[in-house]
Amino acid sequence: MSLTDEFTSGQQAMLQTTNLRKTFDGVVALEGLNISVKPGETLCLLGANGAGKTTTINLLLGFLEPTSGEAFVNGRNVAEEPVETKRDLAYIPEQVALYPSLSGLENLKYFAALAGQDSYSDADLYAFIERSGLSKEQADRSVSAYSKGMRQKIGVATALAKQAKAFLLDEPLSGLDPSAANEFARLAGELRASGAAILMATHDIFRATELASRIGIMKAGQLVEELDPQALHGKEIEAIYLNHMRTDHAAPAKGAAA
Amino acid sequence: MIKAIIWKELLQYRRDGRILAVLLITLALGFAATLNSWSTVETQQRERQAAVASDRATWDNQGKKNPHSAAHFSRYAFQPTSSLSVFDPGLKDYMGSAIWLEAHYRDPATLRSVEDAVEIQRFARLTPAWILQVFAPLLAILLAFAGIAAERERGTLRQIMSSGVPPQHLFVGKAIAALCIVGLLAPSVIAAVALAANTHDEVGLPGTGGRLAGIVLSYILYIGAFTFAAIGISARVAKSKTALVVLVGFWAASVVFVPRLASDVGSALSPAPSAADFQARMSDDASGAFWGGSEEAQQRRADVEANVLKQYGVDKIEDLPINYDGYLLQESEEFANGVFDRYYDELWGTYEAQSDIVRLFSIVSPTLALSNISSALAGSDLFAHRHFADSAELFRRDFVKLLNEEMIQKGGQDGYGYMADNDFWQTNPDFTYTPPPLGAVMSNIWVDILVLLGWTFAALLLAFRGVRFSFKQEAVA
Amino acid sequence: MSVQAITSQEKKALKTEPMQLVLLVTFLIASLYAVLQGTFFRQAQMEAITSFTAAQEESIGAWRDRLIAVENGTTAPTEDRWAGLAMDVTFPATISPGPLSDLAHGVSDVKPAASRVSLWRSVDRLFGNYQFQSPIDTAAGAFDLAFVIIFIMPLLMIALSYDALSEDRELGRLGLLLSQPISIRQLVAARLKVRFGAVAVIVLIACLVGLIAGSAGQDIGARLPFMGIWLLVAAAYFALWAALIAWAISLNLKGETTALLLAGIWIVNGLVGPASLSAAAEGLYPTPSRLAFLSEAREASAAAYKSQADIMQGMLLDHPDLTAENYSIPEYIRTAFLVNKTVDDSVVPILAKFDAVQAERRSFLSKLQFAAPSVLTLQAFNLAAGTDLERHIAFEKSVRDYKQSVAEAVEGNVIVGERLSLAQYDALPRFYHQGPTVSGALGSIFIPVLFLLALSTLLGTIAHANLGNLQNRIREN
Repeated sequence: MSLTDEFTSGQQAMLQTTNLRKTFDGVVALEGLNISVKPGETLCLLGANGAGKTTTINLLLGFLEPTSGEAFVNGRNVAEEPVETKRDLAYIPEQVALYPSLSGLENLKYFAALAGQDSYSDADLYAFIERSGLSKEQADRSVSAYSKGMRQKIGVATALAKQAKAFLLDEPLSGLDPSAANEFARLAGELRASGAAILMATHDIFRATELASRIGIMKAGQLVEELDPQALHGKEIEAIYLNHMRTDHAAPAKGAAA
Repeated sequence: MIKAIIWKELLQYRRDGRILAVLLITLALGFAATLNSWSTVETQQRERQAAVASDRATWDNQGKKNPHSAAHFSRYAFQPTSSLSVFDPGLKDYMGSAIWLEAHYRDPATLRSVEDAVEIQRFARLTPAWILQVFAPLLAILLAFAGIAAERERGTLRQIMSSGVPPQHLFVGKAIAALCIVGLLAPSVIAAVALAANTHDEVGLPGTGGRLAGIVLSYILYIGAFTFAAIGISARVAKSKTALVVLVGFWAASVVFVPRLASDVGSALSPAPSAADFQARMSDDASGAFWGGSEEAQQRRADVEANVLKQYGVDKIEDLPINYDGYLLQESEEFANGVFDRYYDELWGTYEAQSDIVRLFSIVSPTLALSNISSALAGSDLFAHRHFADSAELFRRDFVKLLNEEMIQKGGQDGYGYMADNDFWQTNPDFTYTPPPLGAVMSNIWVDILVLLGWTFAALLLAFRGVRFSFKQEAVA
Repeated sequence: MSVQAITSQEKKALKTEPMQLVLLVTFLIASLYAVLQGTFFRQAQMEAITSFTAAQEESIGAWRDRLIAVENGTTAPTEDRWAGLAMDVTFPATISPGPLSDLAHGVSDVKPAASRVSLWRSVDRLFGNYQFQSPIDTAAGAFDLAFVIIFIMPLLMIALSYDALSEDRELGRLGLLLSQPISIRQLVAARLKVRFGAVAVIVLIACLVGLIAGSAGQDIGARLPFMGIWLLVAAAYFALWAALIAWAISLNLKGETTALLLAGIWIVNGLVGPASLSAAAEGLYPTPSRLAFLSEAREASAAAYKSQADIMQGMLLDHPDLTAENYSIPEYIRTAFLVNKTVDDSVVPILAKFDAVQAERRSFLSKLQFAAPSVLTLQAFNLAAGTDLERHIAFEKSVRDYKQSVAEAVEGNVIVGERLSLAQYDALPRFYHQGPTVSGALGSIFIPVLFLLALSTLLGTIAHANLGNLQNRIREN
């Protein structure tokens, strides 16, 4: 895709895939995907269920091995250095999973330590939590009573504690009430401003337009179009996206899965 | 990373009331069992000491008596209770504790504690070994059944994976954490050992240190097997409740059902003889075939007579320089001893075949392998009993021979009318028993050790591969 | 979806869900194995007693024939001075196998079942050398139907049904189900009915097979009423578990928690309870030392031997009608009789002490059995089967009493050295031990069964109310 080449020509990409292909038992989930996200960029992947968004994230996380092609994090090949590449990544799924019998702080401490950051003092950890928008009191409570938004903040705090350079956000906004979604958008903006590379999979065109430096539309495992939200109106983006979705119904893909 | 996993697991355990409750109940039961077992062993040892002393005193002061009458009265061999029986009394309660060393007959050990027990005693016996064999794996299951399955159900597994934790680290961290908690049961074992050291074991098992180390190691392997299996199953099934039901079912089978079934099948395939039948046959062959009125028996006695006359170069019994009645008695003993060997070898053979069949079942129940190892090392198993019974039988033969010799040498023409007195009885030796060395014990349980090792290794593999499998499965979820 | 639809769906699931099917088939096999091994066990018991009695009758017949020959002059009295020897009278004393010893072996596998009552043996030796069972088998306990019902049945019921409500709730299906014209009560009841029904059918089949196979066509009529009582106990225990599980389900906990709760109850009921109760009974009411008893009996015997002349003198003073002149049989016979008589007199009070302790324990357990239904049920099963401890203890005592009565009857003849006459011999008492009666068994299980049923009713009522409340809560939300 031409757009991608233009963007990658300057700075080194933090997240990158080259001709990434993934099939499950012969069924194509991802076909020749080339994307790249540089520090300070947010790439939003839009697409229907099964378009290949989550597969892309799983490949970047090293959970899956590509059928062909490569995925890179901070210049390292994910397939070759699965542990090292995860050090630079923060993964925030739709539902941030936490241990209900532990407090927010303890969860943070645990996941930070798992990522190799086990030398933080409690004060450091509280600082991450406060940066992500939770109070100290909330952090000391058991997470069993946490709302979805609060869980996500622990996820962000974990990413901060991990000193992640790249964020993989898988449908982070779905199911959040509007104020929680606003707050999350603010956080994502801050992260980006501080130089993080963000790859976000979403259905939400409105938020994508608001947050993204670029928007990629995925269909049947392929990136069918990349848009610059600064250059287009929200309405136009929506129209393009919906158009792709419609043709999706009219001409079913070769058998996308995942 | 592993440290963090252990820290988090322990934190979760501490906040789980169920685990605390089971741990405390098990510890309380462990201490109660230790005290109970210690007082039993102490009593048995004290009673044995008193019985040995009384046996000696009665023997020494029986007054004027014909040596052969004395051989009928004879003495008893009392099986010592090892100190380690405080920890694991094994089969002790089900085997006799006293063997009558009478002339003409080889008796089974009598006075089995089980005959004075209450009916329900055979459901369960409160001993430290039993508590560990039954409740330690249960605790391990409780700690680990949710290990992987709950992480998956909650979604934290993916989160962990995204942190770059390799599956083996997650497994090691969880296993160590669970074993740490099971390790909290150690005080009850330490109490058992401390109390065992505080008993009056006048016989003393050779290699007690090695035995103790073996016991500790085998229980660690056993608990490890259950912990690993729990993690492995937890990683393989979809839901933690399924893991729980499967594991508790396995536990119940291993601890409660299979041991009963195994010994039942064992005794069906290798039945012990009926007591009356065994006694009658043995007595016919040992006694009847020598003293009876059959032609064969008459011939046998005639041969003895002819031989002894020839040996001393005389023609008539009256001319013998020795007492012939005593001589004939000793000849009958020599004859009977061969018969006893044959019958008892056969009897022990059926027990041992049974124990081999039970051993086969240890392939489905690690508890069987462990209980074999544990009771063997504690000196309370079938082998220990046989060793004692065989030693007692050898002593019986020497002892009866000693009494017969007295009649042969001093009986002259009086024969059964000859009376020995306390001066003679008081010179007679006591039965001193030395239990088998550790090496001999080990040669009996190496199969059990291999089976237990196999179980632990298989469980380790199950867990290892299971956790890896769960990572793979989660990656595509 | 109607109740019928649920029921038919459940029935189908029994056959199609592999897990349920495997569990049920395994249970069926275990139950059938238990009754068949029981059949062999009971047959062996019967055969042992029959052959023992036959052998005894044969030797009695030979003794009697010699006496007849002397009395009718076929043999000259001088030719057979042993004929009619009073010291040699022997009688068999046996306890008949309990009517349902195949279903609950109770203590019948460790307690002696037959005695050769002979004046040559003191009462402490009446049951000699019967300890030939394998200790492995004895220690493990029997895999009989009582074990299957008490242990395996409840665990199976738990595994089949702990999830009867929570599964639907956890899958979010409960709302959908309840939108149909069916209440939670009906839903749970329909499910439990099918699942527990299958278990009950298997138990019934096993009982029926056991009744027929174990009777071998002979005593089926005599066994039938005991079978009725047995089934009553089994049904009450079954009802208790059914109610308990329903109650646990009605608490509306997570499936995992319900399973843990029920497994915990099973463990306390079957393992912790019996172990603690038997340890308590044995600790609170310790039996006197068997070894000390042995020592005392031997000391008494040695002392009696030494002072036989005095004893004889005392005997003659007590019975001036007896004279010991013209003594035609060897002295040692009279000595043996007197020694045994002295020993008998000295050990009877000690044996009574053993019995008293057992009675205390029984009374203790008859109160505390209500704390653990497994204990109560086992005791009730043994009572109905006629394999309970009390019956065996009573048997042993009645054999001792019987020996005393025979000794008293022939005492004069032994002392004087006089032949028994045939008339005298035929008038000697014969051993008789009353078997268990239907009314006796019914009387002793009545309160335990009532208690089990009351407890099940209570739990069932609570479960009923809980499910009703749950329905209301769901409706309100």
